[in-house]
Amino acid sequence: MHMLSRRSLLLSTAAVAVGASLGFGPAFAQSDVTATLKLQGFGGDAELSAITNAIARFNKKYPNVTVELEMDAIANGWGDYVTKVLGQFNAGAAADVYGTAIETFQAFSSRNLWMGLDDFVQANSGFSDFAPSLFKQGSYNGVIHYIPIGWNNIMINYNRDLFDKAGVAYPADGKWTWDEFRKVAKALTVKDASGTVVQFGYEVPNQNFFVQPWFFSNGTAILNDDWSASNMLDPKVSETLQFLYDLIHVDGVSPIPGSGAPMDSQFFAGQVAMISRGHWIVQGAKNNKVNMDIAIPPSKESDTTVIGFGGYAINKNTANADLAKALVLELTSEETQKEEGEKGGGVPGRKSAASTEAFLSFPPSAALYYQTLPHTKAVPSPANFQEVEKIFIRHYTAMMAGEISIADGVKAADAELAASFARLKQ
Amino acid sequence: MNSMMQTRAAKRWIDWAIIASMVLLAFFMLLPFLWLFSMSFRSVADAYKMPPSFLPPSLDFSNYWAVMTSKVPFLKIYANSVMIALIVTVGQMITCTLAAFAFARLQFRGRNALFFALLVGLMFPAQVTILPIYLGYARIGLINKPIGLALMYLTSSFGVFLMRQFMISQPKALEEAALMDGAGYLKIFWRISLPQLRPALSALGIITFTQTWNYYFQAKVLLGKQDQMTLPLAMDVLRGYMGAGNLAVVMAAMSMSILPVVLLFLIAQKFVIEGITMSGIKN
Repeated sequence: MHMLSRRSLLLSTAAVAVGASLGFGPAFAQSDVTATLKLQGFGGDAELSAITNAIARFNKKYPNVTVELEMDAIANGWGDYVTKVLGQFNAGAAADVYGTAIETFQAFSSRNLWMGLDDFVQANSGFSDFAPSLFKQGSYNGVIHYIPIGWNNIMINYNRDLFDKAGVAYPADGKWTWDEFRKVAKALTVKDASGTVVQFGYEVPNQNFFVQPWFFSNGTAILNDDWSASNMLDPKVSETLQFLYDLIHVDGVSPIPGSGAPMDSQFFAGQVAMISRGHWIVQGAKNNKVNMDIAIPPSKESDTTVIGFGGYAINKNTANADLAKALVLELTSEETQKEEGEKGGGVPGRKSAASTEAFLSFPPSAALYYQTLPHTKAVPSPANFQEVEKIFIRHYTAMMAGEISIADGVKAADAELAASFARLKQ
Repeated sequence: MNSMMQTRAAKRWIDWAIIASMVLLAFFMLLPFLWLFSMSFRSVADAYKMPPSFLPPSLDFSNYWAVMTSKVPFLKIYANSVMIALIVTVGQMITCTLAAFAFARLQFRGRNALFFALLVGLMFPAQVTILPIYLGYARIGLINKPIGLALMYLTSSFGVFLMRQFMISQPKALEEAALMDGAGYLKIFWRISLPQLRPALSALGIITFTQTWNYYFQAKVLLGKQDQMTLPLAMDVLRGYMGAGNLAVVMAAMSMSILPVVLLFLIAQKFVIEGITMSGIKN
């Protein structure tokens, strides 16, 4: 992160003081200014509600500013979102402020779409409430491009009622090994008299983000450390895939992950006992009164899980930079973060918002979200993420379905990923 | 006499077999819709119960209530879909019929080449043309305007093709007589051709309405704001972030969204079949 010199710190402080004395807001925009700001957000009902309320607060300070909000539910993955945003920029119809997630950071930043926000971050002491690592991960070539909103680390979400019914103990301190997990998943799988599974122990994930903890916990990943090449030929990748394959085809604890809808509804209905998801599932679990708790994804070599986090970026060509910054301040305020966190839109980036009684009340082990932060690795998100995600998930689902052997599947995926990275370097 | 009776009996059996197999096929075709409605009246716990039951244990309207009270402005979105589908349907009925009349009845240089070019247009999927349309719309301020989506489809190659095929099959005698009596082409079109086109117009109307009602990709690119969306996009939003929404609620929304199309088809299916059959497309 860019460090402030003593001189520039003094100058910044003086500027803030002068601005404040003149009655300016923290982003130095005039309160009587008339303008229209376009905001592209993402998420579900929790985010929409929190963002709408944040805009209402922003409009109290700037009553003549109209904020046009577009939301994207990311129903088809982040690749489609990247395509959409790039289309908006190409057409000259870009928004002023974008909410997005780490999967897209390099794809956008490498195209030089955003304004550098180092000065903005330094001028607003309130940002010290965020874990510094979030700003680090929100930087590109040493320049902050993304103000963090919150994160989602993938955990094992489990239905406590189904554990009780099967007489299975909850994972102690939320920790377990692959073998322990496998035994639990078997114990939680229920078949009827005809042999039809009426309750699956686990859902082997069908999305790129959800499956990454299995690789990380085995000390490997599908890409190399700097996300510049495929790592699919690492024997540990095959070992991980074999473990997941066996959960489906040997133990029968999970259906074959398909390209269809994920099984959140079946989890809410008590048809699946365990599911790999982030904090966003909390809202659905509450609505459907699921007696849910969370555990750290099972470990083999480490207890590392994956983290994805969201942030706001400002269009570098916005005509209303100060207003956009003021809006981002409101969108990342403690109030907004609390609302998002408590409604289940993700773990708030602000520690204060993730420490409230309401946030920690459900699931019972909600403190694990923050406690596991040091044991997380970002979801591999190179600039060609759109391609990487599609290549990986296509081969992964084929391997899990047994349409191709794991040995052949990793080779085919590796070849396609290598071609994609070669194109990226051209 | 005996063999005649046997033949008649055999024919009756064949008829019954055909009817039975058609009923069976119809049942399998209707099954997804019946399942959709059935799911929409259940709680999420019951919707995914194993083994599944076809009939809901009770009629639970909470999923419909959840759609209406969600953050998604469902009624406004419904109105957008109706407006777009109506404008496109009426628009195509006018433009396609007029163009088809020109291709079927008027003699002009390059007619066949022009018609061939029109048919070539059928081969380009929406993904090929959406970017230039998006760029143009962005310049004239039609992004996030439902009317923009409607304008894109005011005419269609398929519609012109369908109507032309129908017109070609019509006898020319009446039109030629009208020409000899001094009637202009517009009058011939309005007074003679159009009244004969009712079945084809119905077919075109229903096909266009259904197609427009289901546009997803085009709407996804052009309409981002929730209150400007169409129904297929609303389903995406209701599916929730990362697909974590309640699918029983999505089923309730889908049940409501397919109703106009199902009703329209039930009312006018006779015209669709008649129109397509008479247009010669079956060949």
